[in-house]
Amino acid sequence: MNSIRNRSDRWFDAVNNALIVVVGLICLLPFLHVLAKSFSDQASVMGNKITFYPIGMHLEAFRFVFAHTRFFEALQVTLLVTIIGTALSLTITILAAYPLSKPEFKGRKPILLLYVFSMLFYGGIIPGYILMKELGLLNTIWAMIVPLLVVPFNLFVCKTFFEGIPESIEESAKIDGATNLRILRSIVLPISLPVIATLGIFYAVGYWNNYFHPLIYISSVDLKPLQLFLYETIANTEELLQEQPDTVRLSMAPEGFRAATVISSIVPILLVYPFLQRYFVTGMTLGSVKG
Amino acid sequence: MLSNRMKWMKTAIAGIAALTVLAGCSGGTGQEAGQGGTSPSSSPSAETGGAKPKLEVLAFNVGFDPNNDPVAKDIEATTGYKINYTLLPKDNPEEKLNIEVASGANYDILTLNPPQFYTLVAQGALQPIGDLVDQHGANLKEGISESSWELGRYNGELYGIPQKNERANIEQTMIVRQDVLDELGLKTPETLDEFYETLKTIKAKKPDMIPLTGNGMNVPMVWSAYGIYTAWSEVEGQLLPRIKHPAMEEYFAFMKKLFDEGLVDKDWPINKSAQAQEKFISGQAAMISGDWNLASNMNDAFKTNVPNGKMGYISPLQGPDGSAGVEMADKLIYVHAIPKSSKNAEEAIKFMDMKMEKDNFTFLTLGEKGVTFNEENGVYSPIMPIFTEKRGSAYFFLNGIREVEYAEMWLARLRRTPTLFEAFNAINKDFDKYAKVNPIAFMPPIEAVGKNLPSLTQMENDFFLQVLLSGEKVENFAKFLSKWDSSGGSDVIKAINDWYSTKK
Repeated sequence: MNSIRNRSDRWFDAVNNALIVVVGLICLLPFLHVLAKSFSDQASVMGNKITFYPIGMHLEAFRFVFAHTRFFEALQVTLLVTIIGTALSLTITILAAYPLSKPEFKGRKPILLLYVFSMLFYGGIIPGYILMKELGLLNTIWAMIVPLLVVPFNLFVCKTFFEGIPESIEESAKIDGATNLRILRSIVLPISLPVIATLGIFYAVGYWNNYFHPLIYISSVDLKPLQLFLYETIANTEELLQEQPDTVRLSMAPEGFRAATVISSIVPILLVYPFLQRYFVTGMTLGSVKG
Repeated sequence: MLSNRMKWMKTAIAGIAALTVLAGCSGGTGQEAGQGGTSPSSSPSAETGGAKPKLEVLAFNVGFDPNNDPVAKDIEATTGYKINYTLLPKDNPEEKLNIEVASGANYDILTLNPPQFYTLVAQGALQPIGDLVDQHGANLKEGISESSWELGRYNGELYGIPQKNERANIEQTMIVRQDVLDELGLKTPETLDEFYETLKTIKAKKPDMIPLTGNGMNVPMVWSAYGIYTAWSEVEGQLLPRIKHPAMEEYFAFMKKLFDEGLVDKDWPINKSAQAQEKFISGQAAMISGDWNLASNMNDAFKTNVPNGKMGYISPLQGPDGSAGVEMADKLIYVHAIPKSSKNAEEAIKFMDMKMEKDNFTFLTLGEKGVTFNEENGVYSPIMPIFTEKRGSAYFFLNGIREVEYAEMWLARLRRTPTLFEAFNAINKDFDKYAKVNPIAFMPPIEAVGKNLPSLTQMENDFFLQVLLSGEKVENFAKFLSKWDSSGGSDVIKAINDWYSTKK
């Protein structure tokens, strides 16, 4: 009896693993295909010979992306926006969530309602554009930061987490004469690291992937961030390559150049994920259970 | 008491949070002031000493930064105007254009494609420039023909400087493996029957080869044999679209015959243009329908994959009476207009006029004679690779063209790539014989047309593919046309004929 169950268990595991491997491959193979294209020469790419490994291996496409496009400029803009934006967002979210987590805080209800309101209703593209224009933020990096400064959902996650911290811990600090800011800094924040890391990733990914705000608010070529650069470079590839000297034009296929641009753009954020994934997984369920 | 104080403190913390938000904002304005020149709202006169204002140009998206281009520097040196170029996004440019213009962004010159131009002019967002061009536009008037100026007018008033494509030319051809024709002792087919026999011979002698690959329903060289030359044509005094051309049904039947006999790619209905090109490049297919640009783009990869391969070009096939033709590319591509909000309209016209002055125009499009290009007996040729380095992106900076001269000068750009020019020449050597004018080439956008045409084109394409795949019989062609009519087609025909009758 026991062994039969074990056998069926083993079967289940085997099938399960096989399925997971297949799903994993389905996700991985297109990526490999693009990677292979980015390293391959023109004839092989245009002749549709590339599967999962490069043919006529060379680095021309990457050399061109790095030397002759706005890649590093765009990357710099995106890094700046992501770093400044995430730091500001975290600061403001924590400073707002902490008092809002205290039931005795006066005006808590109306302030929370305001946040909920902004979650449900959105002013629209044109009022948003006019507001940015009147604030003088058009064509500045702040146009990519201010609209995402506080994401109400993140605020609520943070607030719920703070509410779960036993009041007695904070009271003990109060008895020792700590101010509220001191309590927040020395007591609450150290035990809230998981939620801060999680929100940090949420915000950072949000800023990194932000496409809509720069699309609408940024017209200056030198301030366009990575996502816009990516779209516009990929869409303009044929025209761009057409105007290059033969040595460049003939060395890569448009598809190969596109592949190299895509790979270059995702590598930076890809490098960050493994280090933060730990928090990401544990953080996903944060704030979902009120203790 | 303690709790009261705590409440107060917490209010203060929330207050600090609010202040930080504000600080974020004011930090923003500081940043903007620091970046000065990148902001379109920065005042122009201070930087140039008041003599010539800095001009703001909004144009179509390109993959490079025009502000750092050698042509931009030469334009500044030649005209004395400092220009800041801003690009519309590639993604949904109309939305951004409308927002920017509606909110009064400070642009002085807008480079618009025809639909964008007609939309803005109908909204009243552009300045009339007729008087300014009369006063300051002597070079503009010299370079641009009267029939072109007409395209910049709206209700009789001039609102923009029109820019037609560089040179009226034939783009479409059919690219063929000349080496295969030679090997099989075939000559380049000139009539429909010869074309059919050529495909049959290739199929018989080279069973692994796809005689003709392609996608969609357009094969202009075959249309030619049926007398279908242009997208719209006059039939008994009325303009009719290609799909309603009396011979279209025969074309469908012919293509179905080719498909059923395996003379065209069996994947034709599911091919995208990229897949069809891949088949030609890798040597699997003997013919592909395309334009001279495609021939040039495929050439190098094709040569590598098929070292002994050679491309040839099939001219428009002759009909029973020996006549043949194909639509020529002769169109309005951009209109350069000045928005109402601009305060520098006069300077903008002066600037564009200076660029059109004969020597300036030559310098800004081709560079210096003997350095970047040569000219002999009116034949312009590039000096490579410096021409591409210095003037590769010159096309972006045009504000109208000197139509007569540029038709020749532009060929220097094509001569940069020998295969490109070879293809262009092969197709255009009989320009006068084959080129046909599309009667609606210069029609302004009409709402009923813009609204219905995309879905109608899709319908035609779908029906064509259904016919190939036998789901649908050619005999149902008439039924299809009545469905086409009721799906907005008759509105389109009426609207276009209404416009046409005002033109005659």
